[in-house]
Amino acid sequence: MKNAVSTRIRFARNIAGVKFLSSMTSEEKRELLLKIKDEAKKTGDFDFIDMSALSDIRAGELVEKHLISPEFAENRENCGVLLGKDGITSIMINEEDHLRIQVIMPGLCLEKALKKAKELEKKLDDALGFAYSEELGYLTHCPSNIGTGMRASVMLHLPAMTETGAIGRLPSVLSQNGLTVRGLYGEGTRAGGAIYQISNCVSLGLSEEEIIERLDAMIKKIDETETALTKQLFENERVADRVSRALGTLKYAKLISSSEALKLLSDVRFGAEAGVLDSDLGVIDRLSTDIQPCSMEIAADGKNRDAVRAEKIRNTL
Amino acid sequence: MLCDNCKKNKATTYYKKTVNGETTETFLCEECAKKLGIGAGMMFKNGGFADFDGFDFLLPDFFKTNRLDAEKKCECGKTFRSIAKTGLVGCEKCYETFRKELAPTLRKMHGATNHKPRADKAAKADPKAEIKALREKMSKAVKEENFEEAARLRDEIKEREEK
Repeated sequence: MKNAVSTRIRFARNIAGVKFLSSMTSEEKRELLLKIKDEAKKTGDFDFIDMSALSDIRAGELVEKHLISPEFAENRENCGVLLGKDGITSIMINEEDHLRIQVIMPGLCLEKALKKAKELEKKLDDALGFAYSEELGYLTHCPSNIGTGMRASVMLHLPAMTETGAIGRLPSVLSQNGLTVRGLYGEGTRAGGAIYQISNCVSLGLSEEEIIERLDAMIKKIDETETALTKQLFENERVADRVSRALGTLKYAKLISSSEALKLLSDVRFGAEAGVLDSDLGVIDRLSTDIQPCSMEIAADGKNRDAVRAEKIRNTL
Repeated sequence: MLCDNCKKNKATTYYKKTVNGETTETFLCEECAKKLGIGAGMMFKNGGFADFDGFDFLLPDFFKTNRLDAEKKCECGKTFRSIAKTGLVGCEKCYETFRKELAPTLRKMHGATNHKPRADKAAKADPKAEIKALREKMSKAVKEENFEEAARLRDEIKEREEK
């Protein structure tokens, strides 16, 4: 599916017999952080990052890569993250729950991502023992995550629905199905570059498989609408002209801000989805992540960020 | 129109949510919408807690109409009032302690109050023992005059017996 950028599965888990984070002292949290780190490291190949010791820029980079949540980057005291060497798994320690186990993969692949996340979750459950009740499932800090403790989300690029305003109807359609739509970085963020996250908000009373089936069916419907609207919009040659000019600017610009680059990359992706441009979707998606402010600040290493960004885009395209 | 939450500012955000046919409508000002984590295309931060999370003025009524004790305390130290305010429980036992208090919220958030176990977790359980436990729960629900829950349990038992 052309419009799907990435798929993410996240499990919220807490260790049985240990109080939830809002009832813990700093010392208890620190102790828990180290315990989870040690146990988790035995289950796979992870790099541990102590969030309290991380700079704002580095934390921002992890948010841009969708490896941690924005809230987690802001409140870093006694928090840590384990990044899988496979580049797709991450475990946030002491976010809202003791553990947030996450798998993120490119494209639409809910089943594959769920399988991978379950494998990791099982190993951690065996090692740590998660709080679970027959009646309520996995017990989470916030009742909104109880049951499966799972949040499955798919990131979609929906330029045609954004341009025509059809996106405005999405929230009500989704909420009737226990699903929701959010901006690029999840809860409370604004949609950047016509990218939206569609995810489940109901986690109790349905199995993981039922949740991803519902989500998958809805994603396919959204894709049909987006494809039909794209076709219609491209009947106007001004749209084809706009996306081609976007590619031209990206190929030749000497200085470019992240917001301009994101907007133009979104247009180029739009052109590729419509079959007007032959740009590779995977390349555009990677570039859209790499050129964001924090990631670029690190890459620029003191040089002019906008110049380094423009150069990176020129070289990649 | 004034904001449903602060009753001071002009409402700019309209929020409608339907879960299993139950619709709630809310009008909020920009500030309150932000505070509650609602914006264009976004859900309440804590889902069904919208009814009283942050809606302090509604709290006394909520407790009165539901005959709940706001000062009821779990062994972890959290009262139901603090849970209603923050949207976060204090420990896993809170779910048992505040079972009755949390049930309406769970139903509003998820349209359900019971977990559907994962195939691998369910396989371990003995189906006969499960049905027996469900029957006990049903009798208890009838005694407590919780007929809605009893009817749901009856259907679940029937469904399991047919398997």
